[in-house]
Amino acid sequence: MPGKIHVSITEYALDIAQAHEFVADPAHGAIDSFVGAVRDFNMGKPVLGVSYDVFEELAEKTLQKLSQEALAKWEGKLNIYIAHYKGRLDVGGISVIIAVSSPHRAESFDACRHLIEELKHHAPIWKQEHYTDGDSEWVKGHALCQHA
Amino acid sequence: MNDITITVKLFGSFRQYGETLCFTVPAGSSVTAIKDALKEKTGNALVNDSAMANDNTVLPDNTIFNEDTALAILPPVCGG
Repeated sequence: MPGKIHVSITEYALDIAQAHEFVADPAHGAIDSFVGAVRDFNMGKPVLGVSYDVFEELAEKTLQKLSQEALAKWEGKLNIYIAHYKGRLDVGGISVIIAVSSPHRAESFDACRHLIEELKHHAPIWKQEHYTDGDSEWVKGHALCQHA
Repeated sequence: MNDITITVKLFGSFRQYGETLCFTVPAGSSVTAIKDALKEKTGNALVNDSAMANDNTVLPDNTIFNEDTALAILPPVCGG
């Protein structure tokens, strides 16, 4: 049976228990999860918080596509949960959760790492950092340009 | 040649110009031409490193538009 996928963009607090509940499967002996959180220092400046801007329509489709590609790569033996936050978070706030279950641990570790790297490079999501000195700055990222 | 109206949703650092920008271009304009128009309107060189997309996909630079269209400008991304 092919794996199942959940992707979401939300303004509600992300919940690791919900992610584990979704991917849990009697045939799967491993769950690997990645939790991204706002840290208090970046690029030499103390950070108060981060605002996440998201192009929701395209982001959900992109995350769905990345998940389908992971299912194909690991031959369907995965359940995948991806949730990304939209809005402002203080230091320590959870910005993204990816959970992957599989029959054995190697596939979960590899697929979870693969998915967070792909999300960072392809999902239309942007971070604006807010600093203790009152300044704010959009974080530089990865270009999506498609020059034909 | 007819003009068409392009409405561009703004994200990331382009939010400094508001929620959307709306302008006209000649029918048959490409993504490249629309990015040139955006660069002229905003004076922002980040347009060069940004992609254009609709609600479903990122569009290649040679995509042509012949009718009024809603698009989005996507600066380099950094989710997670």
